[in-house]
This record gives sequence, C-alpha cells and structure tokens, in this order.
Amino acid sequence: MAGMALVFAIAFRNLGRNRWRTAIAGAAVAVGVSMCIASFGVMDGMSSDMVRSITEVELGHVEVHAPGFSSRPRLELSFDQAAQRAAIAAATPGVRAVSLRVRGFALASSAHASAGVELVGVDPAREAAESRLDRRVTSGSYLPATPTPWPKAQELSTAERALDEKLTAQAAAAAANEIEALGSGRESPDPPELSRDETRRLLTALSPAPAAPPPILLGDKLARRLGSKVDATVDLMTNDSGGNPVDVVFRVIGVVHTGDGALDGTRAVAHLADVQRLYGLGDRAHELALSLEDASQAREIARSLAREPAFRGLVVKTWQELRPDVVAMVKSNGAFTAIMVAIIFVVAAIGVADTILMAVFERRRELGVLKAVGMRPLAIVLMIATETALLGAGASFVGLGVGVGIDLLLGRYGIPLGGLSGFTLAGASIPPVLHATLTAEGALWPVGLMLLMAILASLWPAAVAARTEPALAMGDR
Amino acid sequence: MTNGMAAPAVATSGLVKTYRQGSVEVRALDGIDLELGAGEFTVLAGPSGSGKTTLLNLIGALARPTSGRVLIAGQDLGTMSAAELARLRREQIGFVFQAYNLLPVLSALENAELVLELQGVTRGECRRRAEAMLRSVGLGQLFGRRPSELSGGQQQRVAVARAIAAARTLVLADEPTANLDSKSAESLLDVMVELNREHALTFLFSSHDPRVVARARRVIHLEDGRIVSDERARP
Repeated sequence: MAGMALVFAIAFRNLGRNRWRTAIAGAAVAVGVSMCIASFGVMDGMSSDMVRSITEVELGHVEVHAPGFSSRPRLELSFDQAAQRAAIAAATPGVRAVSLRVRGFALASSAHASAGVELVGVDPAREAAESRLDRRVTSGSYLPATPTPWPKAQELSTAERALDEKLTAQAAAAAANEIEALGSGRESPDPPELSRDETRRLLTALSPAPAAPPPILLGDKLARRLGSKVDATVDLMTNDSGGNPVDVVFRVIGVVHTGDGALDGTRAVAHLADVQRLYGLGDRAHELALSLEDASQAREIARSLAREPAFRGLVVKTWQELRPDVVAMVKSNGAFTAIMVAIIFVVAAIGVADTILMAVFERRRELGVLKAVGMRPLAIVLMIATETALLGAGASFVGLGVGVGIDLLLGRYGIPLGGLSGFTLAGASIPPVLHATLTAEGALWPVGLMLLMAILASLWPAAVAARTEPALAMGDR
Repeated sequence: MTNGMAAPAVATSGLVKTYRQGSVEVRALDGIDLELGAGEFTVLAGPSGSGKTTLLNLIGALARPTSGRVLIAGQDLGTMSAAELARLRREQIGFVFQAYNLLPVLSALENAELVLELQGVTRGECRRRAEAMLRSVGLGQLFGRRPSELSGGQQQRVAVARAIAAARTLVLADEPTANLDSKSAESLLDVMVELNREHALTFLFSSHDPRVVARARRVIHLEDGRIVSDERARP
C-alpha cells in the first residue's frame, strides 16, 4: 500500500505528542504483561514443584509393574529377574536413574505403640539416585549399601520332618472339620494351641532370623507415633509370599521427612535384599521406578520400554497415567492462571482502548485532513493500529523484561509460604518456599496476547475515525 | 460548457445540502447549478453562512449532498464508493484550508510530500517534487521545520505546496488568506496566480477578502445557499 512508510512515521511520532498519556498507557500494558509473566512463572513453579514432589518421592516419571499391581498392590503381583530388568531400563537412552522396589505391608511394634506400615525394600544406591531419599534423612543416617547377613536355611532333622508331616495332616484335618462344620451349622473346633509354636519353630529353622536387626528408615510421623528414635528397635510382623507369618526385629537407622504427610506417617524403608528375604521373594520385585533426564520424554520412553522383549508381559506407565489426579490438579492450576491472566488482559486492553479513543477524538481534525487529502479508510485504520502496536510492543517488551526479572528473582529466592506450607494435595506436597519457573511459553504468550488485545482494542476507535466524513471530522460542514 | 467536447472541471446541478442544528433544519445550499472550466481562477464570495465552505466540501467530496449531483471532470461523485472518493481526492484535487491543517508531527517537507506519498510516487520523485514546490512558494530554507516552528503565512504556503504538488485537476481553497496579514496574503495570492498560469489547474476559492476577489477572473456570489451573481472579469 502506497504511503506505508509515511503511515508508520506518523504513527510513531504521534506516540511522542502526549508523552504522559503514552507513558501511562504503556505502564498499564507493561505492568499487565509483567504480572502475567510472574503469575505464569509462579503457577508453573508450583505445578512443577508438585509434580517433582511426587516424581521424586513417590513416583518415577515412568514405572514398571506386574499387571494389576498399580491399581491393587498385592505381594504376589511381583516380577522375576528384577535386577536384570532394572539394568536394561537403566541403559535406556534418556533414563537418569532406576530404582528397584519391593512393596509390602506389616504391623510395626515398638516398646510404646504399634502401627500399620508400608514396608518398601530399596537398593540404597539406586534409590538415592532416583528419588534422592538419602537427602531426606533428618536424623540418623541413610541405609548402608550392603544388606544384613541372613543365616542360610537349615536342613530339617528327621524328627522335624515327621513333625512337619504331622502338622500338615493336622491342618488338613482342621480344614476338613471346618468345611464339615459349615455344612452342619456346628462350630468347628479350634486347632491345637501347640501347632502354632511348632510351626514357628519349623519356620525359624527353614528361614532363620538375621544375625543382627536389619537397618530401617522410618517416616518422621511414623517414628513419632511409634515413639521410636534412631537406634531403637521395631518389630515387624507380616506374612511372607507363602502366607506364613514372619516376625523380624529391625533397628531404626534414620528418620526421613518427604513432605508428604501420608508417606511420612506410614512409610518404612529397608534394604531391598532384607525385604525380599523377609517376604521370601527371592530375586523378585514389585516396581521399577525410572527417573528421566527430561520429564517431558516420559511418554516416548514408556512406549519404547514397553516394546522391549525384557518387559513383555509387564505394564509400563507414565506418572501421568498413574496419577491422573495430579495431572488434573496441574491443569486446574493452569486454568486458574488463565482466568487471572484474562482479567489482567481485559483491564489493560480497556485502558489501551480508552487511551487510543481519546487520542483519536483529540486528533479528529487531523484524521479528517488525512482523509481529505486522499488517505484511504483502511490506511487510517492501519495508522491507528500501528500506533497502538508500537505502543503495545514497546510496553510489552518492557513488561517482558520486568516479568522475566521477577521470575528469575522468585526462581532464586522464592516466596516463603510460612504456615501455608507443609500440606499435601493428592499426595503432591506444597513446598515451604514457592519458586517461580521461567518458561519460554510463560514469557512469550503474555507479550503476544497483550499485543493482539491492544491492537484489537484499537480497531473500534480506528473504524470510527475511518468512517467519519472528512468535512465532519474537520468541523467544516 | 466551457470547452466543446471536454467535460467541465467541475459541474453541479440542483445541489442541496441540509443539516440539523439542534431541532432546526438548516438549508446550507439550496439548489446550486454551476460549471467551472479547466484552468479557471474563480472565487466564491459571500457573507459568513452563505454556503461557501459547504459548496467547496461537496465539490471536494469531503461531504455528500442531500440531493443533486457533483461531477469532477465528468465523474459523478454520487455513484462512487468511499475508497473511490478517496482516490479522486488523492489524485485529482488539492485542498488549502483556512486553518492550514498541516500535520503537526511532520516537517514542512514531509507535509508537502504527504499526498505524493499517498499517490505512490517513488521516494526520490516525491522528495524532488515537494522540494521544488516548497521553493516555488518561497520556503526553500525551511524544509525541516515543523508547523509549530512556522508563521501562519509560512504554514499556509506549505498547505498550498501540499495541494499543488499532487493535484492534477482542481485546487479548492477555503478562505486561504483569512488568517494572514496583508503582505503574506498578497504573497500567497501571487504564488497561486503563478501556479494557475504554469500548471493550468482549476482554482476555486471561497473568500470575502477583497484582495482575493480582485485577483479572480470569475466571482460567484452566494447568499443563503443560492448563487445570486456570477461575474467574469473582462480579459
């Protein structure tokens, strides 16, 4: 279009005519953009802190289980060749660390109290690399690299074998009696008291207790409930994978604080080999948790692992698939931010529209002259939109600088939440200090959107100016 | 008709313009029939409120008539769209306003270039023609000055340069000397007479300045929106 250089020159120079008004409108845009960038940064930071809090403590970015385990964890839903599979997963490109875990439940008893616990067996080195559990020890120390020596199972003597056969026959008879009693409505007789002690004696021979209490880490809330401090002993009672009762005394080596109230109140962590031995799982495990170099690659890496022959028959899922509730929470955070940003934008756009409208009315005569000398209506609209775009662009870039500065400051120093922190939402903990995260999207979207809104806001006054008859605009009928 | 087959530079027939002033309907023009031949130097004279400015606005396509027709070089303005009218103003008509109406953010040279730029004339040609036109109105030393740095007479000369630099058919000037002292007014009239002679452009003024009327070769008197006399100067 002819005269575009002139249109641009007039638009640019018009900005300098009423510097205060330009500065105030620009400040509104700059503050709007910087606040939006800061809001995105804080919300992105909170979301990534929440995701990090679950992917570092509870979940890997990608996890491998036997089918059915993730929806209903049970001791028997384990997989074999756990160490070999962990090594294959660790060698996958993009995988930073892999933790191998056994999960079970037990009743923990101290001298003061009892509590149900989730007992997790981990390889200390792998777990430290994957979930940084070693950094969460608040008192005592982390698990040692080597497991506790457990004595080998003893051969049963002839008398013990006879006793085993007798107890088996007794159990079969008791079961038959119980079935018969069910049909007749009579009460079944209790099994002889002696059989429990005898059974325990045989189990001790077959699976002897470790030479020394294996070390165990307790969540800080659990430790308080049990009244157990570092070096205290805790008796764990559970059933092994064969359904047999087992009872092993552990020694508290450390207390951990993850920030997740549910985990800190129920979690006990011991060496993988100790827990495998406790449950009689051999080399089997329940979970491979993978920490990735780049969390956004979770879906691709999960797909690639699932295609590996070593993982055939197992279920490979991303953290998003395992925790859709957290994904929904992150999305709702995003929606909340979007609403807030929309409000800021609308307010800023109204401010810009008002400024441009005032400028257009003030320059009504000049616009009439431009039309009189033959400037096309579209060129008038372009000139006003260009003026707004220049104002919006300049102010948006100032806002970008300020917003990025705020994000960098909040990323480094954060906002202390004081009493508001320390709680968890769906297992994701809110950190005590809220840090902003600067992303290209979070920084550039507000700039582009504000520019667009400002230009759109200028179109109405521009259209009014373009439609007005030149003689009327110049005040000469 | 002033010239056998060629259409007149300006022709109006039955031109009426009314507008409302509060609850009162004002008839600014009441049936104007007029023809201006190419190269004429004509003054619309008459008291304030006689309809001079309204007639110039209608002829210049700055406003639309209530009824009647305006033809510029044979083109009927009533049948043209807003964009076509803009093109007509840009390419055929030059305006000189009483209040100068220069753009305050542009220098004298840029103001003179304005219409040429809108016409799509190349940058170099724009500059060359605008500079020549400013020199011809005696502003050769003031190219870079903004309107606020020029006197009223100098501003009006820039406005004349802007109008003449681009106009090909018609120059409309609304009370061009009204805000000027007598020396500036005489000087400006000299310039316009010279330009009329050099470029064979049709000039139509509105004025009640006797100096302007004295220079005109045709004087049309308006009263209450009607032509009351149409006199031509003896050659």
